[in-house]
This record gives sequence, structure tokens and C-alpha cells, in this order.
Amino acid sequence: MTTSRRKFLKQTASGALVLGLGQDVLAGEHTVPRAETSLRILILGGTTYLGPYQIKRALERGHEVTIFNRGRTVPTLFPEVFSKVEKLRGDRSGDLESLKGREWDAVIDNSATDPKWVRDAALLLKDSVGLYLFTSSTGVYYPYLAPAIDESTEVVTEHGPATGGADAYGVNKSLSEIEAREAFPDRAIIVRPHYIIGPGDPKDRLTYWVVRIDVGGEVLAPGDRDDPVQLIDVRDLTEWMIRLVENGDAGTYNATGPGSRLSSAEFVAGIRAITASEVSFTWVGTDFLVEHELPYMVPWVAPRGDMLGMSNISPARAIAKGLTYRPLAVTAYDNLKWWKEQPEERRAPLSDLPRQREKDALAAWHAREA
Amino acid sequence: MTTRREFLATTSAATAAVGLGAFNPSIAAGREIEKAKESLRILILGGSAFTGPFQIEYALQRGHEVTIFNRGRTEPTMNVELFDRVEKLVGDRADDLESLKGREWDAVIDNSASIPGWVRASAGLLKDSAETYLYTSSLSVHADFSKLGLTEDDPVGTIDDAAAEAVTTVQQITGENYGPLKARCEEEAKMAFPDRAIIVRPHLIVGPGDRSDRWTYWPVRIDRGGEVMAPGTPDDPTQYIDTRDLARFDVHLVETKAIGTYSAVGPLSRLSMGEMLYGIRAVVSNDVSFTWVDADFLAEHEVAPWGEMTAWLPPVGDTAGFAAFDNSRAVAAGLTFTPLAVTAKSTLDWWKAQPEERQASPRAGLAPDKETKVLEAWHARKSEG
Repeated sequence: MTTSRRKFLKQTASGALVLGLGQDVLAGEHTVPRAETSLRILILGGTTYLGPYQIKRALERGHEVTIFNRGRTVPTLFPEVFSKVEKLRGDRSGDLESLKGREWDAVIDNSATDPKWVRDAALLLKDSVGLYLFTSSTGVYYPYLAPAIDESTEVVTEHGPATGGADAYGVNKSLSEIEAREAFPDRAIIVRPHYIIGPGDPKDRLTYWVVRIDVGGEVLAPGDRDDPVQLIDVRDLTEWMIRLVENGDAGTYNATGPGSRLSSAEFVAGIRAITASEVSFTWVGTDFLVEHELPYMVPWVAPRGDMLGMSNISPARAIAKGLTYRPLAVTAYDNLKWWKEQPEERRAPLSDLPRQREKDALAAWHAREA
Repeated sequence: MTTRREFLATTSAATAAVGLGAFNPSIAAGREIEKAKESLRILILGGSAFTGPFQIEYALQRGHEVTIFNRGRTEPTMNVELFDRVEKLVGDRADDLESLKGREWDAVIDNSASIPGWVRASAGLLKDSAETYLYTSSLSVHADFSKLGLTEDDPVGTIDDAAAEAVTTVQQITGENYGPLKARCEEEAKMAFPDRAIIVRPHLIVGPGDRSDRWTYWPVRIDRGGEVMAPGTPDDPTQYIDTRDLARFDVHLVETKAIGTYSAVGPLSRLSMGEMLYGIRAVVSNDVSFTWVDADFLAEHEVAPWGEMTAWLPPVGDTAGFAAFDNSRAVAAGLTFTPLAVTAKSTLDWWKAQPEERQASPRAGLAPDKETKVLEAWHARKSEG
């Protein structure tokens, strides 16, 4: 052999490896044209996940950005954009001093799970700001008892005794929405995202799947192949939020994706498509997963009981107002690329895939099948 | 506030950019490719059609010298600029090998013969002036596709001497005699180059530049969106080989002098039709849904497997093993695979860059009106229960 086997593998396998060959085709640089009018945008919160993307997009569009926070979180996503924004210090719970006497075209509120925070900020800003965009959540529909959900579906505004407190998040979000609408009648934009995923995700949701499938081997695929799943690429979400602000599109919107129904089988196969790994999927039924305390393998959630309609939330209204979607392969590819660039400490939570839990569940499933 | 028009321009530009990076089907795609230790002189018979331009690309990247031999009639449409960097010899496989005489090469890659007499002539001429001879055969050589896990050692189809010798023009090649003729060609190569012949048997070759439009049908159809008719069951297996993986493998085999016969089949592990179509869906963001129509119904409605429902044959009976080839020998020899999403995306981008007339008359796949009719019939039957 003229080339050593190892060297060849290094060379071509790293080529076939997603990050080499995919780059040119799947990812694309894009230039963002500037908006006609430059807006002054205030972002409450804004250092963790959505914020850096919103800032980046807003700056690309030629807007001026102010961020308001406690100054405690050191941004790790796009740290370079933070030198181009104005920083105001304060605290959502009790110190809004630095917001007084200022004017903005729009405020984006990412950081409230307490209705009082929204009330305080919205009341303070209602005469000095044009629009109030509140980042809510599809959690407002919890429990998801309707098989199909759109914005006309009633949201939960009172804690129900039956849910044992699981509804706290959704109730707080829906009460926060009310506060925003009351302070900004006809000027509030309420965005209810589903699972937000993509590069930078602090919760490792889609990251689990892209890393797991890239590792390869027998992969536990959850539920019925036809079960729907929903998610939203953080970039699709944040670019669209800036668009809503630019267009002054007040209203309430579900921000779910993709644009048409995606099944659990389509989801895992779509991720498989970005790797050249040896992969096989073993579909493990919902009953079994529930029995083995795996009712959530986000974005898959057993579509029953309180979670019945959780993955069937219509984005039609958002699409009509300009929400667009990256292809799943692009999201998955970018997510994996980002992950592989993270320092080892950051990658630690997924360094042990496949997890024992998955292996045990697969073994038990096969034992039962046999 | 932004106008609606400006908004549309902004978002569609963003969507386009996200979806469609600059079209670049190249093997390197921006990566550094390390030069081979030893520069080889490689002669490619053919070389201007589908896999040839990628063989040339990779061979040049690896630092080899490339000569191509053909009639000079096929204008390359892929990697066109690279053809300035190769030596061109003109002749004809059928009766004019003059320009190959008195020359030396380290390796010959024969892409362009399905006629045993052609291989006999070229291999016979080159046996003392070239070290190895790589013959691009086909998995069609197999005598029997009913078995799962076919390997390079399974029997090939046969044709008698007189019938084989009677074939002297490509017009005489049929679906029936193609496989046995390819098997004969393999024998001719091995006879002229004993222990120096490399036989590569690709599965369905796919990717940018494919002139058959077979596999291309799926990315193009799925990109059009709506209700897509899918054949058989989502669990039926499929196999194919990306032309760029094949090209790289060919050059690698020549570099490593890996004498032997190889099934060049991808992907690495079993891929179902469902996984393939869903994987292709992942490169577009259109509204898409799949309706799986069973094999019997397709047969009743004269929808052709392979020709119309491309990359698929019912995995039963005579074709049970057609998408279940064992690729382990090729993988051990260094065959690697491009991710499906990359194959799909670059095929789609290439297709969209073709002239309108070309796009208007694809050479394979199911016609849209026929798809609509069959789907209507399928739903009608389903609702009758």
C-alpha cells in the first residue's frame, strides 16, 4: 500500500465526516440587507441564547440595540456583538431605574417568567416605547388536552389542582402575556415558541439527537414513527422576531416548526442524513417508554394525556406574518458543528453516549420482543 | 417600517442563502486534500461523462498526472476547467487505439466499456505499458438478485461466446445482456492483467452530473413539495453510491494497488426508503407529506419500479437482494460515504442550475400527472376500505 490505511482513513473519513464535506453545501453564508428604517430596540435579558441572536440580527439590519440586565451573565454566544450595544444595568425584580426617561421603538422581553416583572417593565415603558414583544411559550396551553392547537385555543390562566404544579410555568407565561397586552393594547407582540433548538442551545435538546446519531450504532427511536414532533431553530425564531418588530405586527403567534407536519421518523432520518455513521433505529413503543420513565425524548413527547396536543400546535398565523424555516438538515448540521467546536467541559454532558439508560431500555425492549 | 416588498426580498434572500450555499459539488468542498506520497500517471478511458470529472478532480488533488482517452465528442459539463490540466488523447474504443501506443502509465481506469472486445483490445494493448487496470463494472453482473447480502464471490451471469462476440456496438446492448457482458469485460481485464486488475462494481451511481435522472428524481420531487407518492413500505431497503465517493474510491484503489473485486455500495449501513426520503426532505423546507403506496397497487397501475419509482425495487422474489448488497470488502479497502443530506443537496443544486429545457424533460421518475392520478386512485380505494 502506498498510503497507509490509517492516513487514508484520516484523510477521507474526515472528508466524509459531516463537518468536512457538508460545509459548503449545507451551510451558506448570507448577507442580510439593512432595514429601511433604523430602529432603537431595547432587549430585556439578552445574554444567554435568544438575546445574542436577536442582537446580531438587529445590528445586521442596521438597528440600535440597548440591553438591560443584571450584568452577571457573561455572554458566550457572539461575545463580539456585545461591544456594539448599549448596556443598562438593573434588575427585573425591583430596579428599573436605568430605563427611566428613555425612548425606544420596541422592547423585546425575553427574561420574564413572573407576571409582576412584565407589569412593572411594561407600565414603566408604555409611553416611551412603541411595541412590546414578549417571549412567551407554547407552555401557555399546558395541559395540552386539545388534539390540535392554534391561537384560538384557550390558555390556562389559573393553576389547576390536578397538575400538581406542573402548570406553573405556563400559567405565569399566560399571565405575563396579559400584563403585556394591558400595558400595550394593540402594540403587544406575543410570541409563543415551541422547543427552541440550534447552535448555542444551553439545554442540549437537539444536540442530544445530532450527537447521538453521529455516534451511531443502534439508536433508540421513540414512540410511534408517525408521532408528530415540533421545534424551532433559534435563528428562524429570532430573525422573525426582529421582522415582526420592523413590520409592527402586533398580535399573538405560535412559533412552532417546521412549516408542515414532521413525524418522529422523519425527524430522526433527517438527522441521520447529515452523518455518514453506521446507524440503525429501533422503534420503542410509547407504552414501554412510559413504563420505563422515558415519556419525553425531546422533541418527542408521548402524545397522550396532558401532552396530547403538545406537538400539534399550528404555526399558520406566524407563517402568514413571515416566519420562515431552515431545512432540518441545516439546523442539525450547524448544531453538530457548533457542538464539536465547544470546549471539552461544555461537551461533557453528552460525552457518554449512548447512555446506560438507553442501553438498558433497548435491552429490555429486545428481551420483551423475544 | 419595512414595506411588504422589501420584507419579501429580505426573507427570501435569507431563505435562499440558507438553503442554497454557492453550488459546489466538488469533492474537496473547501477542504485541504493531502497529496499522495507518490505521483502516479493515470490513464482514464472515457472520463468526460459522469464519474470521470470527479476522478480527474480527485486524482489531480492527490498530485497525480492524468491522461484521458475518448472520441472527443462528449463535452464535459462538470469540473470543466480541470480538463485544461489533463492530457487528452483522441481515439475510439471500437477501432482506434493508435494514440495509446508507445506510452506508459501506472494505472488505467476504464470507465467506458460494456463490450468484451473493447476491454480485450485496450487491456491487451496496455498490459505491458501499464501496471494496474481498474475496470468499472456493475452490480448487474450478478446472476441472481434474490439473495440477501450478495458479495463479490457470488456467481455472475453468463452469456455464450458467440453471443458475446456478436456484440460490437453499444446499440446491441440490452437490459438482458448488459450484466453478462459486463461480467465478460471483467474477465477480459483480469486475463490481460492477471493479479493486476481491480474490478469495481458500483450500485446506482447518483449525484450532481447524473445523466440518468434516476436518483435525482427524489430530491427534485421532494423539493417541489406537496403530497409525494412513495413506493412500497418505508422499511424497504435502498442502496446507491455517490459519484464522488466512487471517484475517490477508484483513485484510492489505484494508489494502494488494492487488487480485487469490490461492490461499491452505499451507504455504510442499511438505509430504508423511508429514511432516504425523509433524509432528503431534511434538505428542503417546503410543505411535504409522503403517501406510501404498496407494491401491488403500483404494479396494478403500471408504475414502474426503478424507472418511475427510482432507487426502489420490491424487496421480494427475484429482486429481494437488490438493495441488500454486502459492502464490507469495499469499506475495508477504504470506501467512505458522503452524508445523504450532502448528496441530496448538491444533486438538487446541480439540477436547478441546468437549462430549463433539460429540467422540463427528465429522463426518469414519475410524471406529475400520473402521480396525481395514482394517488387519487389509492385514496379512493382506501376510503372504500
